Amino acid sequence: MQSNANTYNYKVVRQFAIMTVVWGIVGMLVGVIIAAQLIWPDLTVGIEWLSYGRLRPLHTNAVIFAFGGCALFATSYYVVQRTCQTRLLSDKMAAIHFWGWQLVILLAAVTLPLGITSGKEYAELEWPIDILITIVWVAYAINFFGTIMMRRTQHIYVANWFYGAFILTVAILHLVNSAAIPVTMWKSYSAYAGVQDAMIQWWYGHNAVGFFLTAGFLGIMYYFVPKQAERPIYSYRLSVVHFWALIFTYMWAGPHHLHYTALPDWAQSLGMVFSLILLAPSWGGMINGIMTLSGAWHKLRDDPILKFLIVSLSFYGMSTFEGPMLSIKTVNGLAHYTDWIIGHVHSGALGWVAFISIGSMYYLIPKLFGQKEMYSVKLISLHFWIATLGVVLYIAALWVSGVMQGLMWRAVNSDGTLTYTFVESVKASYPYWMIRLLGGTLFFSGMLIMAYNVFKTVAAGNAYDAPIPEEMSPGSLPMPAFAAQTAAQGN
Amino acid sequence: MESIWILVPLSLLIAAGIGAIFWWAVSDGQMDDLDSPSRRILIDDDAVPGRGCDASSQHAETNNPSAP
Repeated sequence: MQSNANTYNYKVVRQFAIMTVVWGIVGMLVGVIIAAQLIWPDLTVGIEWLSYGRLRPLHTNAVIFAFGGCALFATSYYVVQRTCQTRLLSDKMAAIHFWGWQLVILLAAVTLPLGITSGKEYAELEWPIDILITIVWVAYAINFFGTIMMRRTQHIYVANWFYGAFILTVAILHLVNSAAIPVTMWKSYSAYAGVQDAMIQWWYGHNAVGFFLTAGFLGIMYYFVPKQAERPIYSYRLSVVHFWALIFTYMWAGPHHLHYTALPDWAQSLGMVFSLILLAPSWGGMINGIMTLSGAWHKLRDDPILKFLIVSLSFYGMSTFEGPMLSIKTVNGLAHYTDWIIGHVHSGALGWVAFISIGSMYYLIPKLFGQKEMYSVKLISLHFWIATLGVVLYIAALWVSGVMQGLMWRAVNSDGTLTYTFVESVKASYPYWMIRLLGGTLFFSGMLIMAYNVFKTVAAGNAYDAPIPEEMSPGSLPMPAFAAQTAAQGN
Repeated sequence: MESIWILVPLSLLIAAGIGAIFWWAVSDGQMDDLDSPSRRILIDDDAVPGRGCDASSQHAETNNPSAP
């Protein structure tokens, strides 16, 4: 390990970056299949392992934890090393993290189609896999925070705060929500029952959105947007306020998933109020990211990577406006259980999470393989337009079908009977499901273009491990020097 | 609503934890300078040396990219 001492550990970044692309393709392919199953229910000719109910959790787990997870791990290992100007605490633990996480994904890909599930949304994996996740996560946490403790810079860059909050909170969420009593090797029952279980589940569920799919990806945003734009973040002060405001207010938004259920009314209202409050820090972050380009908007014209990053922020802004609106009980009364919710999730998942992951991968992959840029910038541009068209078709179709379903379900005749049967609303949804399938297929095709571009870039290059600057660069001046400078100017 | 007896103390504990970390961050001077950190990540040149547009980037790790 001596020879590695003066380079960064890019190996684990490379591994997770490549697997981001691979799992993105797998997860989105399963998504396309289940979208098609809604239109043609007999698509998989009655094979139980490929039925909708088994594939749907496979899709969500694959895109969130395999694709999104690998993107978060790759970028966090890169950012923490570059901004702390030190190699990772432990290469061995990084390897445990990588291979352990791939094992978790493989186990998920086997158990979920077999119908082995705890039945908790986004936490379907059974208890032996849950324990494995815990071990892998501890390795990740020690490695990440250990690297921060060994940093050669006094200041901890804001992206690391977001990554750190993501790592700690997901650990707590996983431990509390996955508490279960095992009955056999592959069957357990939740430690909570009834509405208690629902409350814990959505406390987990929404905080997973908040800390896995938001805080972690904001970490990506705060590093890769300034780097790709070659401009400092619009307001560093705002980014710090953004961080503390977001993590202090996120925890209680979960009950909005349980409006008009057995959950006490006050808890539902509490969830709604906290969801509305969340609009402020969310938009603060969105504006901070987009305004980074202020004075340099022309860069957006011919840099497709920047297009991915900035459009992801637009979708972040859109879905964090839509979310609080949907959490208002009267709006929720119309939207809940309809396609609108699935559209909302995908505007966040495809538009925000996938776009920023894709953008950061296009930034990272050439650097990890000793290349200046990707094999083809034109193909990045093509990917961008295909993916954007795909997302827009997807969410617009589900907005329309969602509102239509909500209106059909609540329509009442003058004698008090329901105007429509449920199956009539299903029938009316088919055209929109076709458009959704088209949008999803376009987005999936974009990932195939990315895979080709990545393959050519990797084939043309060699694994490259960047040296750690020996002399501290001006950027890493110890704090007192900087503080003294600023103080002198300030007074 | 017995789950409140888990979630409320847990939330308070987490909030206290966040508060403690915030307190540490302030006293450690993490928030003394909220201007230069945003520029420091740009000074850190992570481009691959020898792959730049011109020959001068052979020693890219010692060069500073143009300030914005």
